[in-house]
Amino acid sequence: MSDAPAVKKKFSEKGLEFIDWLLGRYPNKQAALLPVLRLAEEEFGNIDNDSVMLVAETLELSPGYVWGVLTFYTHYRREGDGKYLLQVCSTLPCALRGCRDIQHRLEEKLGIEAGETTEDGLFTLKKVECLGSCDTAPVVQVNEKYHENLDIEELDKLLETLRG
Amino acid sequence: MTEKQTVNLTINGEEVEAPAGEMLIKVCHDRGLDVPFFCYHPGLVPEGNCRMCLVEVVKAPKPMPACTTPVTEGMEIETHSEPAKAARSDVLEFMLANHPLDCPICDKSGECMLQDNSYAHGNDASRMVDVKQLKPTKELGNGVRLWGNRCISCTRCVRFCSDIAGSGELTMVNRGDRSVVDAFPGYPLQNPLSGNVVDICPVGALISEDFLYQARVWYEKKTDSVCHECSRGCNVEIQTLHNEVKRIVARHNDSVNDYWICDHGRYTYDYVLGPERALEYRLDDSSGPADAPALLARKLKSLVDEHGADSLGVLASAFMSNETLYLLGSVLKELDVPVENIAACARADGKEETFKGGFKISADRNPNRRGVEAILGPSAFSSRAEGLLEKSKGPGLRGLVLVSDLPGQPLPAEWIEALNSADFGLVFLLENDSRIGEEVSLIPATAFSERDGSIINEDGRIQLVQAATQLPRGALRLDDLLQDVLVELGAREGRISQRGLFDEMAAIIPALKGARHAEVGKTGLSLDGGEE
Ligand code: SF4
Ligand code: SF4
Ligand code: FES
Repeated sequence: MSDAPAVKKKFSEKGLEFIDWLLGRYPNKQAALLPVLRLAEEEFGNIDNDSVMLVAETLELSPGYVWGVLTFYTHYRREGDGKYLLQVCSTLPCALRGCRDIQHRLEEKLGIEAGETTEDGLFTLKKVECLGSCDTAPVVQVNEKYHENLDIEELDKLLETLRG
Repeated sequence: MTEKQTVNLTINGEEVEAPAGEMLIKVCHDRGLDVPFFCYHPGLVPEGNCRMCLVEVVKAPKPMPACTTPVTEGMEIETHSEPAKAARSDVLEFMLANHPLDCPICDKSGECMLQDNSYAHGNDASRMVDVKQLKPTKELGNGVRLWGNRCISCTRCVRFCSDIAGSGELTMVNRGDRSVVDAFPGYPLQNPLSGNVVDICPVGALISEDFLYQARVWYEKKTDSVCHECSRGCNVEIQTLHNEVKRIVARHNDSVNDYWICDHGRYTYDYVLGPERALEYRLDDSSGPADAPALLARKLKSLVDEHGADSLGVLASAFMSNETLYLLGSVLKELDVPVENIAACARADGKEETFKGGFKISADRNPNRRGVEAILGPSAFSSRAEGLLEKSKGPGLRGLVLVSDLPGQPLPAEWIEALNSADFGLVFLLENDSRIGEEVSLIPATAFSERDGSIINEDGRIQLVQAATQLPRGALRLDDLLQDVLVELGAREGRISQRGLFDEMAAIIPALKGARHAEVGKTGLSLDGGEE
């Protein structure tokens, strides 16, 4: 498609080496999409539309396809996400252990709804699918770190620490 | 696998033999069983995501989707048992959970699979008390508009773009009850087959702006015909209301176009009633269309009587039907006009395009080049056309009859010059042309939607065209006019039917190999002995 926008980003040398290595482990380029998205997230801090186009070009996929996969998963850091990404697991075991209360408490304290970012750009709150830590439900993931077996009191403390 | 293996199974207690590996839904449909579906489409790779086609497989722990379950030996299927019916009505309830139910203002209403399936398989009342998810309404590109709230996430449109068009513009974004179709920013829907996504969207989520609020589909008249925009001859259905073409949709034909047509063929019909359409009769000062046959017969006859048969020349076109070409040939034969004086014109070539799923747009932008070659001979476009033009510059050629019915392509200047300088110049005209002189006689030409007859595509497949609209103002169609001229010349007793005309023509023209009208049917007949 000739009038498609130009791809503005580039992976680092190290990133490209990683992709080469990765492609050797998969039957086709498409199969490497999730780890390459993760690489983009690491290299650029989040995944914006330019990153989608870069990943699409790298793996010879349509940007639409990459976008569809990206938005299917809740776990990637997206453009505009705050300094702290609070991911509240909302799948069954966490739901049984009170993740709704956790989510509502966070919404109340931050003054935003799930899916939104605070005005100061500090917090983004997301309701996500299973974080794979069902035995320690309910779980909130803050950036890379898991906070497990949470209750409201601990949650409040966690927020205080993050606010500094 | 050289030999096709079959398996035996029972469906609703009846023993059935079916090819191994065939999907259950096809086996059921082939037997006339109503197994409802949304995401399944015979022209697309099955995905099995909507679950509308659930049937009971005896001894299986849960109902199975018929569209992705291959038949196996000894399988026992119940399509209408209580568990099967309950499973499907539950699926429908989920599907309607977020549906806006805005049928009264939805263009799909009346041909919507969600309406039909709800009516046949759903509940009569909603139990929904929760607030519905809202999704965007937006333009996706190429005049296709998305009503996100109506989307049932079947991915038919997504699969079409990736597997058939090969361009992959459409995608499902988000997950669960928030998922909806969209195009990535900066990459709008822009493949030349994009209109098909509107045809195959089972609900009113994708609507063509061309047809938006134009007609309620149940008031429309639907006519099976063939696209005239290139020599593929895709099978189409022309939908009309009050004698006006409202839209053109694809009609299934495995031997030509599968389930698809291109956007150019789909949206090129405005000229039929466009401001440039030529509708003027100008044969004689006082007479109207009704007098045309007698008048024309007299004029041609006296011309030939006075100046000899060689004084009349005719330029036909690659848009004319076989029948019209044949009738024209008959009139000229009756007048003894020599074959060298009969030529034809065609539209200039376009670009050939072949798509991932095999669909092809031909470079030859004429619907019936093969028909002209079969009936008037292959040299009609080349040496005879040049010869006739040359002759028209001399004093010998007194009368010239031109058929100028190529949409969007007026006659070349030299032909207009020849026409204007002839003693008797007559043109069958589709679109107004200010270069044509006052002395020249005019008769409106028929547009593609006003014709009956047959045409031959580039693969040598003869197919039937049917009139979906009438020529405006009670004008005569060219084929009827020519039949009447033959009557006036004493060559025929009266008009004969399309069917009779076809059979007569096919018996005489060697290239048509004695084909019968009845054999041609809805999907055509290969004259090259190709696959059937
Ligand atoms: S827009 Fe239509 S065809 Fe596409 S996924 Fe939605 S319902 Fe299916
Ligand atoms: S490919 Fe040719 S025949 Fe088919 S729809 Fe397009 S223009 Fe018409
Ligand atoms: S038609 Fe079978 S799952 Fe959609």
